[in-house]
Amino acid sequence: MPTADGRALTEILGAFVPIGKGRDWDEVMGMNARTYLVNKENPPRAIRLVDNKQKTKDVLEAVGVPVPPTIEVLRDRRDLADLDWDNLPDSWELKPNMGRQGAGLVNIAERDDSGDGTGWRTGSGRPLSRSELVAHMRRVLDGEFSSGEVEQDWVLLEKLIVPHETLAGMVPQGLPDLRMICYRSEPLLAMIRLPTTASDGRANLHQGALGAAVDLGSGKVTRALFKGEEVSEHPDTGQNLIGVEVPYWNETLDSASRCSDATGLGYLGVDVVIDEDLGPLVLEVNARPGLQVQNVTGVGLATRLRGIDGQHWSSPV
Amino acid sequence: MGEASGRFGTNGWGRLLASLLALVVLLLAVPPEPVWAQQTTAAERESSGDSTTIGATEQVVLVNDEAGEEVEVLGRVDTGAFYTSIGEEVADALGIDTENAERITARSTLGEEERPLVEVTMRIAGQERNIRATVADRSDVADRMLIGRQDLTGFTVDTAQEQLATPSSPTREPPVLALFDFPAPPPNPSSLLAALPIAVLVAVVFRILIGIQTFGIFAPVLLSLAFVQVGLPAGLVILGTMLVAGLIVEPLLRPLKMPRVARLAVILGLVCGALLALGQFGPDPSASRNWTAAFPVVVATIVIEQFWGSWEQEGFRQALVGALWTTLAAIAAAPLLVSKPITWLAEHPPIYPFVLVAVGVGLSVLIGLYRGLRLSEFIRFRPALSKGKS
Repeated sequence: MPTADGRALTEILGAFVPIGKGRDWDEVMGMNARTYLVNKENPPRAIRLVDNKQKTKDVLEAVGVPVPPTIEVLRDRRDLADLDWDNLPDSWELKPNMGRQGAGLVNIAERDDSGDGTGWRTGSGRPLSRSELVAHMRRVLDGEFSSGEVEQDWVLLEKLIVPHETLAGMVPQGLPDLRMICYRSEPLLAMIRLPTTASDGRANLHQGALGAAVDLGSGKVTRALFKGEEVSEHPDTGQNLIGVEVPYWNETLDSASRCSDATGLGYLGVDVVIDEDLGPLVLEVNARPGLQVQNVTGVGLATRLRGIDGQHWSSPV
Repeated sequence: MGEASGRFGTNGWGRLLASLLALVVLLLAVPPEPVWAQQTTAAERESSGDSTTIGATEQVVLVNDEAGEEVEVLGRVDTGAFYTSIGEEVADALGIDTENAERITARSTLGEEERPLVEVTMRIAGQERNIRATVADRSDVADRMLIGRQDLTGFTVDTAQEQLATPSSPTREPPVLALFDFPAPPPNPSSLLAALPIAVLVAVVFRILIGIQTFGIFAPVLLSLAFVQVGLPAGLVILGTMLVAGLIVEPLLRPLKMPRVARLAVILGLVCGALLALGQFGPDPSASRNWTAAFPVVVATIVIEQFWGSWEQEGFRQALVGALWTTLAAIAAAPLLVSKPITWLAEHPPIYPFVLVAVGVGLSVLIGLYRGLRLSEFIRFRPALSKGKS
């Protein structure tokens, strides 16, 4: 009878195909194990909570986890009509509250004084008139950028994050972010995602961003992976990455470890950005964090989970 | 999070209730007769006064007991004739000596004619009858056999249907081969029901053991059912045509920003229209008459909708790959649905269909408990190995 954690498969397969040692593969967590962990550790109510950015921010703030400051929450068209444009700060970020994978995001860098003086400019310098922004916000309110089959959503206006100079200096453009994988209040693995020209400024590994492993103890970058290959420099800026120390590392670890209790998720991915003025801010919490972090760090999640929980995480129910 | 929002989904009882409700709906959708009640043999029905219904044409096996020869022909019901009539080449194939056979005078629209009258055994709709048939030159007629009144006693003929009782014909082609023919004999609903849990396993294996993403788990299974219904070539043609049609219609529908339900309804409508047109102006008018042709259409509609969704979320390439894998999973599942051992088990109530279901469910549980790596992950996570233990 083969064990349910798949050791049998890795060993049988390893005998025929050069896939590496069976034992080594045991340290890697696959989708099957992650699904099991998510089902076991993350109750549906908690998953629904973290789909809602504003509510997540509320519960995180309540336990002292810093989050991006909210400027305005627009819950319907009346709120949108009442929005006081003149009193907005010069830079801000627009987010759909239930947005999926960065859809519908707009970052506003400054006011545009040309024309009638009511326009704005995005971070990439594109001018946006007020009426264009209103039209976009209406689409957000109608749920066009939201996950699932929601018919309505909220528009969040937040302070625009300005990346800390240590991180900003590494990338050509965009906002680098840290992904911390946590089991309950214990961080297991951490990586920093650096936008590239290939990823079009987005910090998404699947879109071609660079992933760099961060050592949990020291907060230093130990290894970097770009398009499946190990690198030591950022491909666009040529900046050396190995050995760079992430600023505010202890605060970052502390924030990440509080997210489990606050949200009710037992297995989670915490996305943290380091703001120039405010330090580490938790952007969002993910109930089904991806497994790519294993490739970036070169460490299997199964190893870390066994070490922390003591129990055999993949044992049958 | 208030209590109200947790009423559905999070609450264990709510979920149980919902699944029970779904089960009831499913059971209502299934034919009301229990599986084994539909499986009564034709002989039993006759003795209880019921008559077997056959279609306007029926697959028939003729046996010449003396020579031991068997021939399978498509018989057309001819209530205007008294005697059954078979073609000369059929008689030859059976090894019947027509030269020395008894002769009768047959009257037809062509006038009077002397015809040999031979004795053969006819297997039709699960019954075996000794009949006497006239032998005629039928080379210029499509039907090689006409079944006359004399040999139709005890049968009810439903002229709107074709080959109603064919599946119980004892010597049909090996079903797996028949699948690649057009059209394959559609397996009966109750045996399909028993084979479905096995077919679903293909999707489960694809997803959990191999790591290939199909469009959900139901799309490949429904698709395989559709393939079984119309045969693989026709099924692929229908699916391909509809996918292309879906690709053409997509950019037209997208600006309307309609909800999913309405979009699905629109594609379904368009597809039905196309099928009707095919039925009226196309080469095979029976295609649109036959309800079985409607089923693959509905399935293809579902696949198209999944395709669009995937296109929107993951891009065109991913959507294409998903459609391909879904089709391949369906092609893999279809032979399972009609394979000899499985159809045999499915058609032998009361115990064996349940054995089949139990095996399907049991294997699903076993595979579902597998928490190791998927095959594709041995490639995906190669970079994770480079440091190993730390």
